[in-house]
Amino acid sequence: MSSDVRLLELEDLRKWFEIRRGFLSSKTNYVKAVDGVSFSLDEGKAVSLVGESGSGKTTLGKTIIRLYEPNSGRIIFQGKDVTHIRANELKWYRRMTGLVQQDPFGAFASHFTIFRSLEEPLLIHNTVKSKEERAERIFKALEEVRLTPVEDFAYKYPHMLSGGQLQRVAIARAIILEPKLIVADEPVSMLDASVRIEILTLLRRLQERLRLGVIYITHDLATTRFFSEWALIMYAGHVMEKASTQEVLRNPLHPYTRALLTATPEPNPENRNRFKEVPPGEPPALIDPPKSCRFSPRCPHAFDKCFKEEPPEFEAASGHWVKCWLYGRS
Amino acid sequence: MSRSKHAGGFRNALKEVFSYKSALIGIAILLLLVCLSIYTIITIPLPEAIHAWRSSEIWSKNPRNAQPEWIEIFYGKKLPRTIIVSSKGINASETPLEDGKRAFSLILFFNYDYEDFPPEIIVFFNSSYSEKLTIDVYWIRPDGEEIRLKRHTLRRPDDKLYLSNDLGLELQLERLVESKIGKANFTVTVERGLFMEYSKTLRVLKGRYGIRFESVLNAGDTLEAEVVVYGLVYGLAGTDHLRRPLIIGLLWGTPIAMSFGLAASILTTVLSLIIGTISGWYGGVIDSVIQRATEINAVLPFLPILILLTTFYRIDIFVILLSIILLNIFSLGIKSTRILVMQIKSYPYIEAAQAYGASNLRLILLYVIPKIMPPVVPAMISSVPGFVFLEAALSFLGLGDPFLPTWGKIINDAYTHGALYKGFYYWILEPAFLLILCSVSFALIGIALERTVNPKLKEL
Amino acid sequence: MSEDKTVLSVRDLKLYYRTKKGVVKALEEIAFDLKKEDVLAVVGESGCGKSTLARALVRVLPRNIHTYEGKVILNGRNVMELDEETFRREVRWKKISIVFQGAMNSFNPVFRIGYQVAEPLIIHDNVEKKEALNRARQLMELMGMPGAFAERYPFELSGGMKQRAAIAMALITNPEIVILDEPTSALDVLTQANIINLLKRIKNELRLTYVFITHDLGLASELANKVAVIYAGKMVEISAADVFYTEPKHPYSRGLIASVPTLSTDRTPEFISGSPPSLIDLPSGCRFHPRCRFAWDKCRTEEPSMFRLEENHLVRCWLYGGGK
Ligand SMILES: Nc1ncnc2c1ncn2[C@@H]1O[C@H](COP(=O)(O)OP(=O)(O)OP(=O)(O)O)[C@@H](O)[C@H]1O
Ligand SMILES: Nc1ncnc2c1ncn2[C@@H]1O[C@H](COP(=O)(O)OP(=O)(O)O)[C@@H](O)[C@H]1O
Ligand code: SF4
Ligand code: SF4
Ligand SMILES: [Mg+2]
Ligand SMILES: [Mg+2]
Repeated sequence: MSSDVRLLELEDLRKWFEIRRGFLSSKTNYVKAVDGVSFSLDEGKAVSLVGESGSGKTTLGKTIIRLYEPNSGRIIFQGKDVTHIRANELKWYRRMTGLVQQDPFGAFASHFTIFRSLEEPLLIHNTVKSKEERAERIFKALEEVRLTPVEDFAYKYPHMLSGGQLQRVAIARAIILEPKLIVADEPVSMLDASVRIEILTLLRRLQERLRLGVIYITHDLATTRFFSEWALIMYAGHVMEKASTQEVLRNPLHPYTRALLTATPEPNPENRNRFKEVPPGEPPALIDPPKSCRFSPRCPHAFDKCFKEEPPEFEAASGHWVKCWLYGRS
Repeated sequence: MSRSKHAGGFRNALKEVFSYKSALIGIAILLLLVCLSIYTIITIPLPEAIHAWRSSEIWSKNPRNAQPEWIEIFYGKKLPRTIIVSSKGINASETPLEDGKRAFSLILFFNYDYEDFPPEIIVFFNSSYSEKLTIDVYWIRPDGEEIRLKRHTLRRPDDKLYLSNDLGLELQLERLVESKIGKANFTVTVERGLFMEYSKTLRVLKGRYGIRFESVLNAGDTLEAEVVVYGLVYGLAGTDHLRRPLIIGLLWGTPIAMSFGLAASILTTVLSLIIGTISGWYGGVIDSVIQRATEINAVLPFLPILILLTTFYRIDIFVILLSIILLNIFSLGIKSTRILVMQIKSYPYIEAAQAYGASNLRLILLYVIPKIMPPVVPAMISSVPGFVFLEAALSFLGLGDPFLPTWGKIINDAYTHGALYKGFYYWILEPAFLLILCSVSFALIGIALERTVNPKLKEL
Repeated sequence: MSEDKTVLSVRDLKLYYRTKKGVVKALEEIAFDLKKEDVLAVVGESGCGKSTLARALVRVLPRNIHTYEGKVILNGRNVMELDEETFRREVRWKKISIVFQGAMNSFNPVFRIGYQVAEPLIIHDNVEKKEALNRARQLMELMGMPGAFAERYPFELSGGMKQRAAIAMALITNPEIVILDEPTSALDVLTQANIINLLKRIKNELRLTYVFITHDLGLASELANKVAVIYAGKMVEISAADVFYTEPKHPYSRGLIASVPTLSTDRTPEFISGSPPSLIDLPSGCRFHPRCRFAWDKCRTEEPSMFRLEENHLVRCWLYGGGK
């Protein structure tokens, strides 16, 4: 996407979950949670992954950091194919990537203190040998996420901290091994509105300072623009639109993106006097999604072709890709 | 994973446990039993205990089926203790006769102040002789009357003279009594004849009794005698049918029962925990196999299998322990562990740990097991009594360790020797009491622990 | 738009919970008036007492209540004085009903949705089951659900559909006032927008009055003509929505509005640092002072009361009254 150093590249990545229908049936079905995703990310840049629940954001995020093994496609990290790496290589990859989860309250073992929780990655990777150095690293990480004075927090148990504080600890844990890539899966959706911006700002600062690649997963379009350079709109396992965040927000092309933008609530007292034009219905089941455009059952612009063929990704403008027949040159 | 759940509050949990009165009682009893065990192990080393328990010879001077001494409280009178008078240190009078022979005469005195008759009297001889040795035995009552009891010819140098079972003697005494008081309205046994006051009511004549032995010894012959007037009561715990002091069995039963119960419960719990965890964590084929195993195990008849085992193999306590563990690890506990583990496996913190590279082993040991421990520990403690009883039950069924003195075996002995029907209640009640004491202590602690980890039970 | 008739008037509502750690002062000095067809948005951070207010209004309370007092005047009648039986028979669900937070996940999995929607009718109005089921079906259709969904079990429905059913259940007894406790917070934006459209439509059709509880100021603006901000159990500002969104007065309200990221403007969202106090151990003076940029000595020692700026605009802040 630019001339900077490429950190991550996904090529037609697919993650299908096998589900067995009943006990005797030999037929296996697949939940096609991520079905052909390609994009690339440069070092120190953030990309937002936006979509409704069930659109495959989490699955994509977890596949990228290899918590899931992809069914097909390739993941290239720093020029190295990590799609199916194992053992020591995988352990290296674990060190190079970090994860921040949605639920801060569930993200920590309740029998570990914060210190102990942060020590775990260091112990596992044995990058820091002495106990003093480990403590130093842990305190530094806590400082990075502004949990000061660090001694006040380090020896507490998770249940003694608020959601926002725990999410900071989660970020501290994600960066403690000095990774290059972080997947933040809806890191603020369970937090209060007033805390959300604080956490996102923190994450953004860290990203810039530590030159982290960040994959910011969210269902809230409104936050993307302050926290990411790139935006990827997902729907039912497909990437519907990808471009710079500015471009997606200012010039949304895909009917689904437009619907999302319309539906996103904005504080404005005029709102109560008008109805919103949003497509009715719900996303398709991913076991048996439409063979054609996956948004076609709900799309207000759908025409014949939309129900017959799956659209490819068209480059509607430079660096602005849309998976929609409306932008096909035909 | 609720937030309010106490984390790492081990010390708090302990404090809470101690706040339950029942737990304190449990702990007190447990401590008592532990002290008892330690005392036992130090004072009666195991080989000695086993030897003592297995040989009947060394107890020959104990009364048979004597009740414990404290039973007197209930009778309200002084019951006879065992009296042993030995000729050692007492000079027999020896008068030289012709051809180097000697006239031998020995009187052994003892006081008898009890309010009941002894059950049995035996004279143990210890002699060396070249020719047959014949001894005349006389009984000297406190009132000065002397009765010639018997002429006894030694069959062995260490022959015994059983006064009690001597029918001739009994008849002789009966006649004697009749001559004194007329026809008695009670049976005159040997002991009664010897110790009774000559009156119409059956009463012990207290005082100083003597027993005199007269004989003619050849040159070089020696003769020693020891009179044992057996008591009706013995020691703290009484004796059994083999005259063994029950206290040894009861004392040794304590460490055995406790270590057996603890070992069985800890090992079964830990092993089922491991198996259940593996089952829940790895899922798939391993899980299926383990699940089938538990289902089969659930319908296997436990006791018959154990009986079968014991008929084919020489069993000792370790074999029993092993089989109990084997038959118990695939218990239903596995199912609940498995479900818990599957639940924990889906918690975000496990995924987070996978993301920073924690291995399966680390996840299981450091992330999963500590989470499932809280309900496991109390359950483990609470399961101790079950195993203690199981061992007792097996012993009772004759499937116990053949050497070790255990509570179950004492009950078994008592039962097979008709303790209940003969009225030897102490024989069953003593081990039963300890069994219950031990169980109750573990149960009380277990319940308190359970309450601390399960808030729902707190209100109870 | 709204008539001049006050349907709900709350005065000095107070609710404390009793807990092991102490008394939780979940609500204090709550006061507001609602006219017919008003929508009052109640906003505030998690744990500030929004759901407690909802529960206090319909008197669905947990057992560990410490204090529960004040006036709730419904059409001129103080329903706080009614005994439980009368309240149940005449007020709850009949006059004022509620869609509980997380209602869509509280359906009983073993009963059909239609029956559960109809249940308040059967319980409160002794309507015959068949008749009630019919009503439920009609209402569910009004909610934009296929009538056949009445026959389904909860797990056979999507979140959006379950939430519609929960709303239908609140409406089945024709109440005047409906309390909506975070009715869309677990839903996707598109579904949320659809549900908000629905709520607007039925409000107009059925001439309803809403108390709309949410932590999302953007969402609040979709329905509300009045906004009440709660901080640490007390109302800190209440005003007309038009005024509130253009000119929030209380420093906390201002912080809240500034923290909402918007698509339509280039404003960078800001945040209020710190976190709300424990309701067991409240700070002295103004409850917001530890986080307030404007706080001065007086704020730390004296608690401000509600100062009236305009007819319908009250603010609990020393900046607006009581002299400096
Ligand atoms: N039954 C209860 N017993 C004790 N405290 C309670 C109880 N219910 C709620 N609380 C406390 O009262 C306060 C207000 O709770 P409430 O549920 O009203 O908050 P809320 O504003 O609805 O929050 P959210 O946005 O998370 O729904 C909180 O501090 C909460 O912990
Ligand atoms: N482990 C899994 N097994 C089967 N299906 C899954 C699994 N994880 C996710 N899915 C399905 O994949 C789809 C995408 O899920 P997810 O990636 O969690 O979406 P999002 O994060 O966008 O909400 C959903 O239909 C979900 O039900
Ligand atoms: S391809 Fe057709 S149906 Fe799909 S989004 Fe574009 S216009 Fe709509
Ligand atoms: S009273 Fe003081 S502390 Fe409270 S909000 Fe107003 S200025 Fe801030
Ligand atoms: Mg997700
Ligand atoms: Mg609430």
